[in-house]
Amino acid sequence: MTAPYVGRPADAIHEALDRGLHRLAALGGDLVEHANSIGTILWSPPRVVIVGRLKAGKSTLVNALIGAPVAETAALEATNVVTVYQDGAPSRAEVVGLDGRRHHVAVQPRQRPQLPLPTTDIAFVDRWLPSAALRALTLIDTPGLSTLTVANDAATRRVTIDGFEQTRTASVDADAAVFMFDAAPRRDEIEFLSKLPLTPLNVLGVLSRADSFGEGALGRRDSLEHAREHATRLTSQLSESVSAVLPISGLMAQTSHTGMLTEQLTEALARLRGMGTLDVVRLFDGDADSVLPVQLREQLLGLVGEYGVLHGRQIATNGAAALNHWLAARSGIADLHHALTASVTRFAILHRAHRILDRLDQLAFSHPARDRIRSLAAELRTEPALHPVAVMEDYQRMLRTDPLAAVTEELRTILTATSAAGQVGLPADAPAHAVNAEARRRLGMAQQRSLSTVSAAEDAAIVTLIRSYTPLITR
Amino acid sequence: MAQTAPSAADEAAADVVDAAVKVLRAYQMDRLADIALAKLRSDRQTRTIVVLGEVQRGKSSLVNALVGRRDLCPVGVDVTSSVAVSVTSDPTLESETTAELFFPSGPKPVGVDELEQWVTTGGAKVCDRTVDELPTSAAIAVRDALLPGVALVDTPGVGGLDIGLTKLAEQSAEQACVLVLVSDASSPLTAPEMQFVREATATVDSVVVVVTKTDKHLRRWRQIVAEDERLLAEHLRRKVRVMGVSSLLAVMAAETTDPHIRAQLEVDSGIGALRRELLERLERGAALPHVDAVRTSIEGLRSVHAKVTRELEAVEAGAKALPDLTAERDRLADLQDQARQWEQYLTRDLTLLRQSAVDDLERRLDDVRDKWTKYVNSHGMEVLRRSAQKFTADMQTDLQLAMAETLSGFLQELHDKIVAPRFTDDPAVWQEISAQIVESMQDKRIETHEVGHKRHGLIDPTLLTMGVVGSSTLGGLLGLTALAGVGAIIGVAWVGVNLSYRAIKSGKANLLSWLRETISATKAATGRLLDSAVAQSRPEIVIRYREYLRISIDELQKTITEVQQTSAADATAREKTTQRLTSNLAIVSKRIELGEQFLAGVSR
Repeated sequence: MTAPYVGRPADAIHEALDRGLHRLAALGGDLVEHANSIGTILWSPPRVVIVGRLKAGKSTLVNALIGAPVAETAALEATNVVTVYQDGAPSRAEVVGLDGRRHHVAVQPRQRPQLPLPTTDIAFVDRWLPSAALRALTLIDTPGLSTLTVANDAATRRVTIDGFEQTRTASVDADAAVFMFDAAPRRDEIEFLSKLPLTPLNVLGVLSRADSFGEGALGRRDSLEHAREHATRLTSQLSESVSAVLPISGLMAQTSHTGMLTEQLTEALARLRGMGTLDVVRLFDGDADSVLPVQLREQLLGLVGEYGVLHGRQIATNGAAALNHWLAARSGIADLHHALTASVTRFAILHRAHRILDRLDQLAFSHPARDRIRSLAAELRTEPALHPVAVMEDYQRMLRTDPLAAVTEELRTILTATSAAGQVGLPADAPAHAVNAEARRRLGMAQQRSLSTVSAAEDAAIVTLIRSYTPLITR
Repeated sequence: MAQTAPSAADEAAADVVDAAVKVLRAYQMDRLADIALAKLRSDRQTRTIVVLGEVQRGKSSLVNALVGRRDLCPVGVDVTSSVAVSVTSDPTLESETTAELFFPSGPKPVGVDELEQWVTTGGAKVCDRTVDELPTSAAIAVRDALLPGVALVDTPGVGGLDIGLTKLAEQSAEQACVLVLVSDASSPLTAPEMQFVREATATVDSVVVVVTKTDKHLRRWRQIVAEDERLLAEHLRRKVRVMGVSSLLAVMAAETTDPHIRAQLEVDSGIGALRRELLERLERGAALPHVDAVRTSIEGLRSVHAKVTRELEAVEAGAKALPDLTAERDRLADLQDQARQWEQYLTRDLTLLRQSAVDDLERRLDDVRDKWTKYVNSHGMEVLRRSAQKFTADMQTDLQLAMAETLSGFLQELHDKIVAPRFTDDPAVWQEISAQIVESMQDKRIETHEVGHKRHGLIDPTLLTMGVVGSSTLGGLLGLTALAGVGAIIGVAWVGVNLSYRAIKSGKANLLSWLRETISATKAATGRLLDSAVAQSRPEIVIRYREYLRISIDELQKTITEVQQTSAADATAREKTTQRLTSNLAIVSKRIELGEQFLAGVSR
């Protein structure tokens, strides 16, 4: 099928790529189809993969972010296939096999779908559901790392690592990652993370289960506060892997964002106000049905956890809306939303643009019209709107070859800057002449360095730096 | 007051030994009687609980909960233990707690509050690159503990689960030992945990799986416990006990002053049930020093039995026995006269023994070297650098095992080939000789500064210390390898390796050459220990043998005289002597039987 290429306008990066794809399609032949295929990347939201060890709370977070209980979160049965959640109606799912073939799966509400293939033969599951949250981001839920079944671990690695470079047809390209852990991330997890083709700028750390952090709800200090403090420390410790670490109570976020809290349950919880802490613990852990029937106790624990039960009892006296509000506010989900949309998404968009340019480069290798495609790709890269993409690509390469080089740091500064002054490491309100002088100085340094580079990556990075500083001087 | 009440088994053992001692004294075997009594009185042997598990599962918290002290072992969200810490109780302590760090160069006392700096991966001293040496294990003693007489070993969280630790427990099989695998209530057992239980249950009988943090997973933890039990049954085809514990509620119980609340919390936390389960399992494997005392008594009784039997036979045979007896007496008298000749044989035997022990040691150490060379080559330096402290401790354990196995083998041969054939009737001789050999090895730490001297500047001048410590002092501490002699632990071998952190940092070639040199130094040092053992035992055996010959000749002479007298006397007198000897023999047999019954009951 050879439909004409149709794009959708968005921001400058989007427009530049869109124009490029139009030009590709204009070359005619099967390139129209290629343009369309690459265009699907451009049209779909950036993809955020959620990784972490088994039961780190990945599915809970997915539910909270989507605002509907769609991901499996049973106590013992965690997700064992990679699932890609994207906006679309009607609600449906397709299983993609390792052979690249797609199988339709019937989805019934509140029911585990029957998979048409054994999980070891599944590359990933595509899941569409109408959700405003998924319009901005596509979420990829993964099985946990290091579980009793070796197969689970392999599934995660295949999709996120091998998926990029090798089995492209069965891959799920990710533009950003949310890395979940409780307490301390393990060394193998950090290693796994460093192997993902991402930069720290588009990886967000999440300290999950903040509500049972440290000694937990019964501990000497408030676990949410403790988690917040610890997350701040981790942010600096893990700066080579993640842009920030945020504490989240996935459970409280899920409950407050999926509308599962009822007046009846709130009223039941309120009945416990004034009870001694240890008495509440004994009531919940024991068998006596005197104050609350066991079914209600299990529901409450499942919805708000130990922290919610112990600290939410008093708030529950004001009704379900108040309790829900409290859960949402304490869960930390708002900060996560903000971080995802404000910074991670920004770099995810750059990453998505990089993927598109990458596809063009690949096409230039394999297609008969390689010369024209190559010059098209080269022209695209010199477009001012796509300059940040080049900076990000160089940054990623430098991270791999020489993460401690001065050049790497300068690239990061340019990438994260939100103003011209920021690009040369000055505060946003710095006067124009100061910015000009500093840009001149940095340009001089870069030109000097270009005489004694140690790697091809650095060569390329210095060219990019020079291109970054030059417009700041002529301003 | 924290002494345990003597158990029924203890009292039964005391009865057997007391009865035997009366007989032994009657036959002038006072030395052996004293040894048996000393063994009976000796402290109960160390009972050890080793707590293992993956990182951040709450091992240290569980140890604190079992002891009943919230912040004893360093715990926290970003605290990970880097070496094994043993916690023992000592009611005679002046202060509430004391702590000791075991450095390659020897132990040093520190304040308990300083422990975190030395034994955690993020500890100030551990991270300080200017610190010369780091401890490879630590011990805390508390004045009153909720598990008296038990050494709790908190194993390091770095490096994950290590099956090597169960080998140590197996090695010291003379100790009562329970392994506690700590898992947590958030998820079922992982693949490495399952693998660990599989391997551990193959060597140690007592493994308990504890699901911690139940207070963070109220109600749901029961599902996990059930699931773990199911998984264990499915994978191992045997039942392994899984128990849920809230370490947090347990320390709250220890801290509260209200006895009612405490009792309730002990139940709620599951800690009371766990303590009972652990003690019960330890009790099953306990009673060993008493068993040892009974064994010694039986040995003595057997030799009395042999003596009386011979005498009885001689009396019954009458004058006919006289030629045999006289010939035996003359043989011994000849030996006594030809002292120089048999002393030469002894020297030859001891030299051969030492040689075969050295060969054995070389083989073992070569295995150790191959193992670590392979490890370094296959895992790369990164892995080693990451947990240099644990790597050092592991290597030290291997060297210790090699040394202890060699020394144990040497002692066993010394007994079987040299001492036992020469002193057939007197087991006390071996007891004394072996005790003296171990004493001679004690406090004779061999320090070598030779390792690495060829590479000054690249490698720290490395210190290798080794020696043998009496079993009573440090026996319970993991990381020290029990030196089993004949029948019981007679000492503990220890090797201190100062694995140069600079050697690890400066690259593979240097580490490998350091490893080679360390192992050759261990060879030399163990060789010297063997030399000292030979030097110590030779005169000891000579003197004892002379004495033994003298006594044996006297006894034979006595029997000859008695036989001569009885054969000369009338039938009634002879009948009377026979009756006396027969009834004595019956008494001795009866007591041997009692002892054997006791042993059979224990091993059941």
